[in-house]
Amino acid sequence: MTTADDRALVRDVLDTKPQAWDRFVRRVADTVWTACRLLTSDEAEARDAFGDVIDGFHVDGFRRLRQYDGSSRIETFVALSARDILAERMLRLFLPDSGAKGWTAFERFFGADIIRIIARRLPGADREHIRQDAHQDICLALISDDYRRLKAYRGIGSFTGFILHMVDRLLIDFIRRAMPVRQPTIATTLSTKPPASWEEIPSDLPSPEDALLEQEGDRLLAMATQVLRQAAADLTEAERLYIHIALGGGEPIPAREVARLMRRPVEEVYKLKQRVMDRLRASLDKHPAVKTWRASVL
Amino acid sequence: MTPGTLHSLFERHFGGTDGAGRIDARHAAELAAGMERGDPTNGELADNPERSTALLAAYLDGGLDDAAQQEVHARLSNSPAQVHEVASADAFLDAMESARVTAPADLVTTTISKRRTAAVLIPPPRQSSAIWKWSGMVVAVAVAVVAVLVIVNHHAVPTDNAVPIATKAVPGKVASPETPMIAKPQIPHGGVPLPGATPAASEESTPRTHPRREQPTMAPEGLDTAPGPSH
Repeated sequence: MTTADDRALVRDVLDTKPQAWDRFVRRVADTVWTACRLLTSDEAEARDAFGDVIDGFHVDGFRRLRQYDGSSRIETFVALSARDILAERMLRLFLPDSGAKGWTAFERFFGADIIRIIARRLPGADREHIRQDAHQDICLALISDDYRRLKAYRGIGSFTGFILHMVDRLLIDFIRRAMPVRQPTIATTLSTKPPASWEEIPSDLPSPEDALLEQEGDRLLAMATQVLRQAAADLTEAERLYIHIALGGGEPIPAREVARLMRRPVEEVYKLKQRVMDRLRASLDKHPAVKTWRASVL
Repeated sequence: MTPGTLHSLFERHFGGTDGAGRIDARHAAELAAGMERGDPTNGELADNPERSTALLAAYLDGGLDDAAQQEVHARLSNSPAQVHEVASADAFLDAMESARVTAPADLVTTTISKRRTAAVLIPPPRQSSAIWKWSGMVVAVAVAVVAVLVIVNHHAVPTDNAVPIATKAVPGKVASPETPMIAKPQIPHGGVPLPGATPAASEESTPRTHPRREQPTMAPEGLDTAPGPSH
């Protein structure tokens, strides 16, 4: 079926034409079932979830279905809608007396995303143990205080976005605790070799030299953040989005991956990178500390 | 500090070529946290969740025109949570593609027939409370009008010319101060009040409306916010 056919089918459903609903269910059944199998723990639960998702399309006078305008494939629309309905279903499992059901469902739902976010920020085969520690740390934080952080969702914005952003912030907290700030130097920046493993091991007793270096690293990082924020104010939305994507990882994100997330051609992403660097360079030149330094050496 | 130090830091994060190696995770984490403004979890791609999902599907399928795509980029650039949402949805669709399975035929048939049964068993929609309210008011007003007509007819001015319009006061009989100035309408039918003679707005003549159902509310406990850097 073409997208136009699917659009017509949805229109028939909204007009409550005979058999339209049956045809729609048959049309999307495989997509809904696949989503249910991916996001629930076993077949019995998936069967229950299937009914809930199909009902979710029917409720409130086809409220969800009304938004389908044919600008995407019906499979994509139905898969993402099913994911939303299953997220709402999962939230209900966090009610009192539901035992560990809620957490089991949560892990099933967000497990792959959590692993992906951690792997992105802490890449490398040699960091497996740190990734495991980070995963445990994040899960403990999410469970603590009777899932306080999960229950803090107020229904504003996407629940998935809310959870994944929280996971990322917890991960940043973990990285702050586990990894000292090192002074960015030109020598290390030009090196393509992986850093020494000691860099990642938190030291309980830093030497005075280490303490000084860390202090200087903190200072430079604060300045870099300041410059970045100033520059971001003048960037276009696409350029600012590129910065957000680039800062989500512990290694340069391949241009094709950025292009995929931004739904733009790869060549355009290369140009975008260049423009962002030019803007940052200009913003850096305007920074008072840099001006002072220039004045001192001239 | 030299500008070169910071420039190289930016170069590694934003200008690095593919496969250029690892960058400092702590630096990236601090810069990412430093870039956030306001409540990063707020914001949707559209004005309501259902529209947001449809828009996200269109965005990921490349079905948006340039203007609509720029609008999505604008929303994403202000909401790190939405960037996570897009990345997660993208990964989910990938997983869907590779794990695609056929739905059990019996499940599909059962689901469809359940809906058919429900449609048959569900009684026709009851009149809404608004219709009840208005029809009740109309009845009440009608009854009140009948009551007024009965009263007016009872005290109607006599049409017979032979009857004096006003009777003369009987000498020696003075109306006491307690005597009402307006005569009470006499209740016909041996003192039994007329049905529905109560005012239209009274509780007895208007159907009760159902009290609004209390919506359970969950007090927000506040978003977990990672502490900022100590500097």
